[in-house]
Amino acid sequence: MMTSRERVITTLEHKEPDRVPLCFGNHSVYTIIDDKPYGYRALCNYLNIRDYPEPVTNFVGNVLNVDKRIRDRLHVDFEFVSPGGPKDEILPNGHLRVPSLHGIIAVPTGRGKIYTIRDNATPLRWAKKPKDLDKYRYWSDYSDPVYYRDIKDKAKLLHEETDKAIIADDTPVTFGHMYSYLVGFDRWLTDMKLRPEFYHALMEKIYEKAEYFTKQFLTEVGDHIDLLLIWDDMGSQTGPLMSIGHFREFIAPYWKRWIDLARKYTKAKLVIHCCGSVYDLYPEFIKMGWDAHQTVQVTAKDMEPKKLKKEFGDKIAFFGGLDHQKVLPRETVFGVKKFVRKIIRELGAGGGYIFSPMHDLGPEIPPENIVTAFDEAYEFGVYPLVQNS
Amino acid sequence: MSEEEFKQLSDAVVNGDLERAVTLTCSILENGTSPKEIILNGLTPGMYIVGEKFEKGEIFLSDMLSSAMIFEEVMNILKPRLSSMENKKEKKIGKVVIGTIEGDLHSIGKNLVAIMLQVGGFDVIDLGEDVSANKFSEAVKEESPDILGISALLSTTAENIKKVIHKLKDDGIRDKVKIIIGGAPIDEEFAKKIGADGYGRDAFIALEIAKKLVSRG
Repeated sequence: MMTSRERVITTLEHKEPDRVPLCFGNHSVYTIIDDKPYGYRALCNYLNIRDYPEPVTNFVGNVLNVDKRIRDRLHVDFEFVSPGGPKDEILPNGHLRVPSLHGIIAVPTGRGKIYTIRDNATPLRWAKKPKDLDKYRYWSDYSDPVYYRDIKDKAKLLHEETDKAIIADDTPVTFGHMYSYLVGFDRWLTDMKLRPEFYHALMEKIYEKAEYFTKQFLTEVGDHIDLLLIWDDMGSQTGPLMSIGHFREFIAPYWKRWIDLARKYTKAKLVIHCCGSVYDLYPEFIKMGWDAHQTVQVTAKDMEPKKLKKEFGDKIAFFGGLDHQKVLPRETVFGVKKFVRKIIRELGAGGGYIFSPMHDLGPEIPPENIVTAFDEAYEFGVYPLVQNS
Repeated sequence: MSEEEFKQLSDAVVNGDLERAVTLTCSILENGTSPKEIILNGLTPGMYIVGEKFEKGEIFLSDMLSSAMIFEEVMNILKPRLSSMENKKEKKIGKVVIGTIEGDLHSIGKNLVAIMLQVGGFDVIDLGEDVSANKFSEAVKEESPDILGISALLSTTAENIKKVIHKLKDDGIRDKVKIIIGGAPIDEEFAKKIGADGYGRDAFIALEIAKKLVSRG
């Protein structure tokens, strides 16, 4: 039997390990929301874990400290490392300022501690000219030691004392997303066309900050991590948010520079989290050198797992695929098992696949279905895969 | 005004050329063309083409949003002139309260419909986005509109439109107003099922339906 780390690395090198590795846990894109009716607390109760520590959440409600007993019960092959940062600040109007993300403003949704970003409340919305960027006061200071405190020791310890694959995530590195958080989603997508000069000026600023952070962060943890994930969504449910031409001109150069930078500081596999229908972008992902694509949102248009595997499976690994939009909230236990078998058969052959939810598990998903999915993936995902069942 | 200039303005909207759209609008205005004609013959045909191309998957969200933003910028030039020149002398054919449904923050479709209705002679009260059933009901009581327009872009939020109709029934005012709904996840069948009076597939059709509904009384 392989260790978790061997299993993950083997699959990322497009070879079959002993079984499909499973990922779920503490970080932003494959964790669980703390909200009613189900969510994190219902999962803990369902697994009879009553003395779990109070969930720590980020501003969109993702639980960042999923109890280790839950991760073990769900056969998770990963441990997680992420930077620290200054505390979010509640403003007099009830909005939240997030200093680790260049002072972006999150607006309460009225549901517990869950906030959202609204275009018309974004802090740099007034900026239209490159020189406006100098007037902004809230650029994050990534030289602050608070971001890197203890993470080297933690990563080293996890790497030496556990046999799990170590994934670094929840960093402030994101490009298109950061742009939309600063000036609005609509401005991000339209500035490309209407204000290209301003677009590149803001993106350069975002890049410069991300570059500084990445150097510091990877100097600390680069030798002790196996995967490094950043997130930047480019797809909607029905297709990429922009044309390939715009992607190449306005996104790809920044991603590529970051990939080349990260490679200098770590041997970890590089993973891009990118939601939605991004079939058309896969050739670009491969060309610029991502090792794996996280989400594989099979519910989005053109994202049939079979087709993706056939066309791109030998060049990029898949990470995700567990449908949290239709299957987990609505299916019976039998339906969940059937789906899990299908996705593992279609994405798992020959390695190159890590099983995980496509995104955070929402509060409408019954805990029984979560546990069923991971148990089934654990049992059915043993190589060689059974093709007819 | 020459059709050629309207065509050029429409092209500028479709191609996402903000500067050209603004320059053309100003020069057409200087020639004495009314803002209403510019909207009807230049801007909206352009947005109509954009909508069709987006629906067919020929253009992307970024292209569609760019055109919508140009539309808004040009409307900012036209709006003050529209109200001073035209609103006063024309008798309104009806009153519309419009808004995007609770949980949904999308404004483009709703704004387009609001502008078309305004240009088409309606008095339009825009409640904005993320509007609750209560707020819609309050506005119907206060404003006594002929028509209530509700927009949704997400399939999850479209379900909330039902709540508005229930609320109006509960408050005993459902019969006092006609309801038109629209947005990407909505179709004729959905509109019928939830008991709306009309479904506007696009802004032009929304205007036609609104006119029909008020003429029937």
